[in-house]
Amino acid sequence: MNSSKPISTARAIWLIARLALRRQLNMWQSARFRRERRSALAVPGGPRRSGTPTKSRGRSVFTLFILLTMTFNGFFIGSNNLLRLSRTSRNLNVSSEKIPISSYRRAELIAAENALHRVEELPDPAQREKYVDLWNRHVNDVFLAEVRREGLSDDDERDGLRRMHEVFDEKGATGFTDRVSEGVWASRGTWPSSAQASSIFLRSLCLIVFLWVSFIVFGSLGLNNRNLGQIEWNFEWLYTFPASARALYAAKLSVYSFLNPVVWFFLLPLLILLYAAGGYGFSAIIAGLAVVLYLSLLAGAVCTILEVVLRKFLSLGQLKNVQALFTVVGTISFLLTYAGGLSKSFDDFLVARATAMPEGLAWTPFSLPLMLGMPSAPSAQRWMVMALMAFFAIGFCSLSLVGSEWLTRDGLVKAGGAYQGTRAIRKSRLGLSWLHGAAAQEVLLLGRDRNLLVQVLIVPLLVPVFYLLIYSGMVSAVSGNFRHAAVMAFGIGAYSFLSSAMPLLGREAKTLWQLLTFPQSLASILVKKTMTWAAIGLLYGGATLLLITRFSHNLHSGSWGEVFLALYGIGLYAFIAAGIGALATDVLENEPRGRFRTDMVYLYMMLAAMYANTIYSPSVWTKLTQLVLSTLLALALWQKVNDATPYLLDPIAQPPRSISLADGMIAALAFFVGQGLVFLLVHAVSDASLGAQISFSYILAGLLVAACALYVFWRQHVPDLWRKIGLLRLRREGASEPLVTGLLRGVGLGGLAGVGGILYVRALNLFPQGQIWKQNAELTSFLSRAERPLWICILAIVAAPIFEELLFRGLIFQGLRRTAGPALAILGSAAIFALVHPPLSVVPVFGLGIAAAISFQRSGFLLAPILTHAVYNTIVIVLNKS
Amino acid sequence: MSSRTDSLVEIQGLSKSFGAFEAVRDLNFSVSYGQIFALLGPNGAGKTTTIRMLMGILVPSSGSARIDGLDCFRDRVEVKRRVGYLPDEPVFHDYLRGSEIIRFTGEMHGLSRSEIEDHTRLLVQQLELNDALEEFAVNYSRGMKKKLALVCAMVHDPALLILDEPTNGLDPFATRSLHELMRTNAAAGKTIFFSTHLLDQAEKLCTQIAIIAKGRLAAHGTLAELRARLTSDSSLEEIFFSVAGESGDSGVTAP
Repeated sequence: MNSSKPISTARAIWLIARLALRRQLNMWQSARFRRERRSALAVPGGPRRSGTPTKSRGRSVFTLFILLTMTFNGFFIGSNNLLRLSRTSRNLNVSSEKIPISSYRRAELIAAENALHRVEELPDPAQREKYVDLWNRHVNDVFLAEVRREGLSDDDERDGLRRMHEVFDEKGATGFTDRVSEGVWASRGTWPSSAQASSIFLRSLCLIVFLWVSFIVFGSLGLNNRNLGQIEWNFEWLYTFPASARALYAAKLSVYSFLNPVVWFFLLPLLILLYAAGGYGFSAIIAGLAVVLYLSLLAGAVCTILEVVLRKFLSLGQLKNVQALFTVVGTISFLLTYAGGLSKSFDDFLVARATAMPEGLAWTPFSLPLMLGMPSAPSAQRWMVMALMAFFAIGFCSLSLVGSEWLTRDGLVKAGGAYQGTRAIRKSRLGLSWLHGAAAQEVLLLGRDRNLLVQVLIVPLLVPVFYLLIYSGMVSAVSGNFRHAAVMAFGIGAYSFLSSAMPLLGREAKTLWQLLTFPQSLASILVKKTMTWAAIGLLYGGATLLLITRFSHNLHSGSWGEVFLALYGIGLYAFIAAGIGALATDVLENEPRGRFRTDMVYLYMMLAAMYANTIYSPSVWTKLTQLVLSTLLALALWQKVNDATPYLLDPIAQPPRSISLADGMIAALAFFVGQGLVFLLVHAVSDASLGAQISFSYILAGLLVAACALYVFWRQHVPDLWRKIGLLRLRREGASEPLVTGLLRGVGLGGLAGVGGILYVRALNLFPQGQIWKQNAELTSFLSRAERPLWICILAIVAAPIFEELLFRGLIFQGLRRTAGPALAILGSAAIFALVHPPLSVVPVFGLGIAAAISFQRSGFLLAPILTHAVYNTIVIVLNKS
Repeated sequence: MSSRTDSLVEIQGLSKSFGAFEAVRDLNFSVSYGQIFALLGPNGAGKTTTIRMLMGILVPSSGSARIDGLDCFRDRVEVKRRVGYLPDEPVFHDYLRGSEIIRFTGEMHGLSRSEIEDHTRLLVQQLELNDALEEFAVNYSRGMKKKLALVCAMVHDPALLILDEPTNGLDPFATRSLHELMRTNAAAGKTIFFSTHLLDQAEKLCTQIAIIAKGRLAAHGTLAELRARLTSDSSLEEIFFSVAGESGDSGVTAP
């Protein structure tokens, strides 16, 4: 007996929509919580799977931070957009005689000016000259930094610099003003009051909304679709139910409409601000939401019918190309909407186009809601607009549903597998036979998967091309200034890694089983794949640099230093991206979208931005520090990847805890930050001498960090902890030398390093740059300001060696040593040790680092490098007094 | 029973638990050279978990698994040289042809192009994959994917073949060729370790059996030895039901 009863279309739509909502909620829930990987947790009911909630607190904090930042950003950009458009529609021009400069630099200028005035009153002319020189150089540095953030060519930079100096000499710090535009947030006055300007403003907003709709439609069809040529399995499954096709398409329409996060973060704030400017007050939020829903519905309707039409009338190959095209168009549309808030020339272009359009532009279905935002619109017009909106919403949806149903009245056309039927018997591939193994496979996949190709090769090009087009001065700026060219090359390379190297492990998740059958460790296979992507990124960066240097007329000089930085950065960041990606991917997650922690993308972008920023820095030491830190970061990441990969597919087991380079670096960071914080505290409450305060805060910070680190390691049951750190003797196979030999060797090496340091300082006197460093050091170092030498001795001979050796040798050196050979470990720990010291002492401290590391390596006992360090400090400080 | 020196696979006290759930508990058996060893059990008994521990994918909670004297987790890179693995549901990259996948596998094992050709020519012919190798893997049916995975598992001529439910999803023709293959390889000296829940097929093929239910080893030995526990002519099916008890399907699969 057949007990299946027919249900109405409305009920079918409701059931399917409810299922889709349930599914989406489950996906979000399982993405929010993560598998708990601690074996100590005993939960009744069996092993955990995706979807079963277990909390991971670290994830939610960072994600929350990113969400808040993006929300703020959305509002800020939207507001900027509106303000600029409004200004351009009214043809306003902002001008001022004062030079705009950022507010904290202006504060620095004021301080410099005051200092220069005080210096005038110094009795000794030689001293006066010295300090005047010093402060003038400081002012020049401030101007340099300010001028470099503008993005100008070399000539313009020089002019700007000269002008700043003139103004400063003439008027002092009063010749400069804070760079803050007239108001940051859109307000009632944003909507232009004059009729003509108001109409132009409205039309330019319409253009922006069109761009948004284009992004929603083409972005959904291109980017969010895994494969336009294939009907999703869930749609086919629903088709087997006794529900009408109309119901199914209605459900699909709602999926297309409401699940685009970019829309919520950027379009919604823009609309809310617009309606707030139009006088809606707090109901602007509701208005904005309603309008976003309306636009999403229209766009969703267009998407649905477009998809059905494309699938019915195009072949598979054509569909692949169309999807790639849509991705490109969608990305360009989004970038253009972004441009509205950034570029004056784009605003001019947009307003000019808007002026040329007819008045009735605002009456198209997509831009109707904008008319509701006009502050002076009569209410009759408002009601008419709302009625029209309702009409269009229903109309679009019905047309789309009826159309889709009619087109598939002969049944769902299964598009079949990708490239089905192509049996190419050509055996030899394009001469790629010299590529072997993992690298060859990546390149093959890149060539075949058109979506991947577009994302990896084409989208990174779109971004800079887009910027070049909207900023009219940018072409000459980039081609006129080598630093910009270098940063652009690095940026293109680093950006491509977002879609090539970062999702590396995620792409392999389903086929990981095969990689695990090979007699190579998974980490080494991942490294080989990363090298392929690094090569492609370098190709891009190198080609950019070549093109700019070849075809630019304004380029006066280039610098090999910047070229090296850019190219080295590209290669390094490929590995950083792949490392972060590998650690942020949960291969056991079945849902592809839940597999990767997308907030880690922002971490990567922040790191890349910091690196790019140092290409602009005038100081060699900053560049060197960034270089060393980034390299060590890459090493620390890959050490963690190396540890984690054997346990990747095991939902419970974790790698055994041991000392990693990452721990050392975090401890070092905590130490220096903690030092500063404790000193601030102590300085505020204590009256003791400066030297005592500094020594005390140093010692306290050191104790805190050491105690925390040791406690954390002990809690995590790091085996052999005391021996590893060097607090107990490392038992060595074979004859172990007596303790005294190790200590004596330590003292000897320390003496050697100390003598080397003295010689270096003497040699430095011969160079002018060295003299400048010495002066800077004298000015800023507490050594000259402190009164009591006793505290210095305690600090230098007892405290500093103990804590710094514990950190740099006990943690960082041992962390490196775990996966690298002794040479690399010695050099790495010495490099980072040297860089935390002032420029004057970098080279001798590097020598000390090597000496201490060698003595630790040979003796295995922390006391040896402590003695080395103490001896070195004694020699250097004793001789400094004389 | 086999002495220590001539067992290829040695499992001693092997256990794996996920939190409080014990997927595998205290397994003890060994596989001698040249055997066809069947690991039988109902769904969810822990067969796949055991095989994954042999392949170094999972870390045993306690006990040890050794292949050729090497620990399966610590020395897994060396172990992989000696083992060919066929998973239950092989998944391949959509946009790669079968021939490219085989070539990639061979290269990762350090073989040259000509060696790969030599090793796989006969096998491909036997499995009738010749035409399909030029097709993209996304178009393969389930049986063809298994055949491709089998070729990949044998490209480096391993001494031990570990097959997880090898005939699951194959049609009768493919099943017959696979069985032929297993017999020929065992006769040539390879060792075959496979897991299945299809008792009649196991009966025809294997020389040694282990029956696992709810994570524990329920019986172990040759077919004759197992028969001796019950009546002298009982089928494997009857032995299985009596040994595995009313336990049946435990209902939950380990992740």
